[in-house]
Amino acid sequence: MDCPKQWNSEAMNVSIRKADKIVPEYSLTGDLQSHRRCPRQYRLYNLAALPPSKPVQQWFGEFIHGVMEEACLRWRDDDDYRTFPWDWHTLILPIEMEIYARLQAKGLKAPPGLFRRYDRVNDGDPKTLRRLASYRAEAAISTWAPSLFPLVTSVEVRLKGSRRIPPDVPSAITRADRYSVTGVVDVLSAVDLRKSPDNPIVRKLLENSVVRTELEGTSDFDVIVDYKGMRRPIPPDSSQPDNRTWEEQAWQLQTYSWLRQQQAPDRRVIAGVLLYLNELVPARADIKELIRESGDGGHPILTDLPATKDDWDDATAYARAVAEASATQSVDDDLLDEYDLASDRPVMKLLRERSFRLVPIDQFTVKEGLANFDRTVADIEGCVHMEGQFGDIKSAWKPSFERRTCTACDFKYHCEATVSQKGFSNDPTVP
Amino acid sequence: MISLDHYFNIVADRLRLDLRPPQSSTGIDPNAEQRSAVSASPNQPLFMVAGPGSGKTTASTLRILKLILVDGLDPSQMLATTFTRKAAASLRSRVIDYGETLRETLRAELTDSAAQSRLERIDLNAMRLGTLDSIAQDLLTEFRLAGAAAPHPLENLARHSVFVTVGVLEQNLHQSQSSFPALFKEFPDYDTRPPNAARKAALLVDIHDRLGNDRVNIDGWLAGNPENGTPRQRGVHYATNAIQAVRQAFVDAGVCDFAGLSGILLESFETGALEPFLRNLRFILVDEYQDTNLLQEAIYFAFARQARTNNGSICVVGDDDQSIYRFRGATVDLFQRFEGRLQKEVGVKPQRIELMNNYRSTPVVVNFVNQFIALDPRYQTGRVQPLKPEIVARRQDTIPYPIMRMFRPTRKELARDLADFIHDVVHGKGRTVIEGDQTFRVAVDPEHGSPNDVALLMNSVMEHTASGIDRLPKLLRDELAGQRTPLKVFNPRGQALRDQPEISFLLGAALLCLDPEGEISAGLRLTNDESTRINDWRNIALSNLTKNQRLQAFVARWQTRSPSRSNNPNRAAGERVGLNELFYKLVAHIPDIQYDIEQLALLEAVTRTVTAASVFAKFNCEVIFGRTPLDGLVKASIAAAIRDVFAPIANGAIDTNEDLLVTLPRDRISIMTVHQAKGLEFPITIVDVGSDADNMRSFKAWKRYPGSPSRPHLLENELRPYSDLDNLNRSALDRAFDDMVRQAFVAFSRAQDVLILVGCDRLLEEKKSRRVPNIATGWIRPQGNPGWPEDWPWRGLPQTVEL
Repeated sequence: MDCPKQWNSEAMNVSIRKADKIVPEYSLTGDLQSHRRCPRQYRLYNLAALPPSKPVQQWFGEFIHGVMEEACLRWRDDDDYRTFPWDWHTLILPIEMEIYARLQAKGLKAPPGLFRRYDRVNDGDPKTLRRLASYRAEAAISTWAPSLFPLVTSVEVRLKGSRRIPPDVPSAITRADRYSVTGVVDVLSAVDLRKSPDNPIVRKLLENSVVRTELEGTSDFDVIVDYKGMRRPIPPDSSQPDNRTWEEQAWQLQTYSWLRQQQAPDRRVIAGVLLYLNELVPARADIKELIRESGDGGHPILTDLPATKDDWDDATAYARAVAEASATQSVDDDLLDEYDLASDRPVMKLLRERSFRLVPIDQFTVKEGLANFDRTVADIEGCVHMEGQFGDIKSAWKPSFERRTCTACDFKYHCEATVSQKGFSNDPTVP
Repeated sequence: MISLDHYFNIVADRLRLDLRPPQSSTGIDPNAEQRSAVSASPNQPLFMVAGPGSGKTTASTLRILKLILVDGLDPSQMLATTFTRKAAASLRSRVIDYGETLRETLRAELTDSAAQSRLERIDLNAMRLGTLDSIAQDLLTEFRLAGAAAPHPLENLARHSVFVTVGVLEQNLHQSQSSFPALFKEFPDYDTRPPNAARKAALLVDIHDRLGNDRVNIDGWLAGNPENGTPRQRGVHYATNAIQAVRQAFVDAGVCDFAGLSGILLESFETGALEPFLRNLRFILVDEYQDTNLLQEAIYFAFARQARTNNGSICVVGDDDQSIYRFRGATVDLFQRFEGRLQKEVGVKPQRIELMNNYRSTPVVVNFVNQFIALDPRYQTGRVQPLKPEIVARRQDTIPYPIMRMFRPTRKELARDLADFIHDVVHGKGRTVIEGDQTFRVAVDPEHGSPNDVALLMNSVMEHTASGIDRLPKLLRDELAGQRTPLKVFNPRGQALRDQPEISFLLGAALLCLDPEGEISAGLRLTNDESTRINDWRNIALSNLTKNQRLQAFVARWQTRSPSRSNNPNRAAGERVGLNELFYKLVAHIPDIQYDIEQLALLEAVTRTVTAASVFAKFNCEVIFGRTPLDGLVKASIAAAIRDVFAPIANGAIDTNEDLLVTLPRDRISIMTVHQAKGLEFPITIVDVGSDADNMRSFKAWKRYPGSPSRPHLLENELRPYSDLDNLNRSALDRAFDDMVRQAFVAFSRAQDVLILVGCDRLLEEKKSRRVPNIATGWIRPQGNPGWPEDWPWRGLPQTVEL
């Protein structure tokens, strides 16, 4: 047995247990945006994996993504689905039920106000069971699928890349030098876009001068598409400095485009498209918000696509139609029919416009997006390190207050961020 | 892209891993084996036998990167898998970390623009890397056709509760007149009490997993056990019917379990669905191959055949001496016979490479471990043949701390002295140890060290015996808390979930809201065990309620169905309240659960049970709030909640999942099972070799020196004839002994600097009536009559220094 030639145990201690250097994996939507909203909530829901008691947003997000993905696969592989429009009862309902069952199997149950399961044997006319999520699924398909699906080169492409953690974070205090970041997008290719100049999505892309120049050229590029189960956020301005969603979603697409380029270095991503699918069938509260953001009652105009004065009446009537059966948040089908999405009524045009957002992408914006997410990762790693050092979750992961996030949070009753906020109490309600 | 020499040069320069041949001709080439593992050609299959601390993750990583940078394989043509999520994360991290570092170096070095372009095209993340389960799920999701659902594997927590409700209760296996008890008797667990529903379900789970993992011909098994035969033979039919019912329930709910997932993956080779992936596959690496089962082997070989067709290969890495997962279906024979099986099934002969250099431990520890594994002659005949060489210590500049032991008359005294020792080592001036004329000081680094440098490894980390007596983890927790500078331990699995005080309080408080008098639970067909536990929880909550006025008011509102002022009473009556929502609201009144790392792990187990159970539950784990007096529907929703969530926790079917506890807090002493410690290393490793020995009633033979085989060995004997596996060439009892040797070997080899064996004095007794045969103290299996003293070559543990 070999022993070292010289040693002095009085002067030496046992080795230091080195934590393995790891490459932590973050998803853009699940982790990074969640931590930016509230570090404390991120620690509890994401790291401790405590399931939210009412995962309404999560359910709808996964539902609408699942519906669009499955719809695209069926359009590609199944002859019954080749021509639009699709009959809701025979073609779209089976997709909804398929996705519903998948989510149920994951333990994600549909919020009753959003979706009701249809039992072919017992439930009679399925229309009576329709709720908001089903209307939105149909609207998403009928509005965007006919123009989008023929352009999609790859469905639900899983993106993954690794990056250095910002160098200003001392490596001694992090468990990682690099991190991995993941995301999922649909991809449209330049070839298909050029083939279809009359496609409504291509026409929307052409409205942007940079994209138009690219489309008129010959070089190869991609456009990426992501669906959002939410309404269109408002762009930040000086009066709403805390509204980060608009920017974060742009950073997200910029980061996706970087990830895509790691996968396919020959291809440039020149733009991203965000489809805000809630806009197509807004709930009453959404319309109220729209009217408020459009400067009703002398308030400043906050949104980039406001309803004009002339639209308000129409919008209000639409809201009434949507909210008619407000107790269950269901949508009255006959009333909605009057507001056929394809119609040229101003509010319908407006909502279609509002559901589409183009994010131009170039190397500068990508750099900006990446820098922002790198910073978020550095923040998370800092919190992880602090908790590891002192074993104290409360001081390592500070909560931040945002009314909407906090309202839906299961930990609001014992969180210091809500203590002095109006409308919050540390006594949980019954039931 | 680059030459092999260039590769080894940049690996040495940038990663500080020098595998190049030595410059001088001393004849010593310590890295020869690692180098041949890394440099083997892409189509050369490898069988890497890697001892503990031998840098197998490093070797695997460097082989992967060599195939990419030297041989030009694209990462998307490669698949690497290992046994646990933790190990997979570690391998993935290493590949990305080393890979990106080398890419940065080459970016600066390569001048050829074609090579530069190739370099930029390398996407390390395109490699499939994970546990086989996660890879299966990804592949089956990615290459599915329209309408085909992506598979959704059920978490083990939920799976077990389905086995209880659908397998045991609905199939009436719980009725004593069924023949299932006869089968249970044949395949017992370690509990001598009559089995409850959870333990019966556990047997069903074990049989179900073996059937799938060993690819058992069930019809053959049934034919061998006539339906009108003995009670035990009839029991086989009850068991398979119950398993079939559970499988059907999975299908109906659109879920599968992990064994099912592997089965679907194997089938997908036949359907051609994976063709787009398989046509490019060139390399497959399987780490921890000693823990593979037959079903997984079939999948690996199917990948390997494809890789071979594409001029690639398979590389497996493992160590039969570290195979400790037989109870999860691991079949170590597959590792031991890998060379022959690969040749037969894939038609290629692998090159065998032995990585026996140890970079983890001091030479003293390595020597101890080598001696231990060589002690038992019968163990040697069950190892990979020809026997691999001894492990060689390669760590530089170590202090030769002697192996230490701390044995005391009772576990209480042991806990006290061990706590003092740990305190001195972590927060004091250290502890002096004398061996012969040498003096050593044991202390953690005052600047960079932490309590996490010390770990206590045990076979079971439970804080109490079945009869409620405190065990070492509990005594040590208390003693450490009472030190001058109090120290905390991290042992969230120290108590069954159902016994954890805070969780009992939480569950009890929820019951006080839902069923305060126990009237609804009394109407359910709960077992005595379940009823008793549910009543205990209620009583624990009741006794705490008086001290907590806000909680009292909350519970009172529920009991009288008086909604908070902000709620509309009519609307509230119809409201369906998710159990998790209720639990989270109660947590607002129980501060101990809110931010404690251990408690959050337990809360996670409870809340995820609710989520998982809701897949099968009648009311989706929601209760209807209702009005007093409660109507039938409201009561039915509460009854369902008790049956679906409270009962499985009460009967022990649900517990914390060790996979969830991935982070070890630096401010605490970790107490963990040997299985949890696999893949880890600690500067000071304390191994409990028998702290229970002061009460021989709780220090049963199966924990230390088996008198008979256990369930996994018996099930192997039972089912092996109906599977394609080779016949067993070792007796069940020999395999039970083998497992025990491996477990101790893994525990001892975790130590980096200091290895301390702890236990009670009784373990050192040599008097015939007082002897305690124990593998971990250096006994070997019975060698024939009279046995003594040959059965205990390490009598008195002479190579250790008493603390």
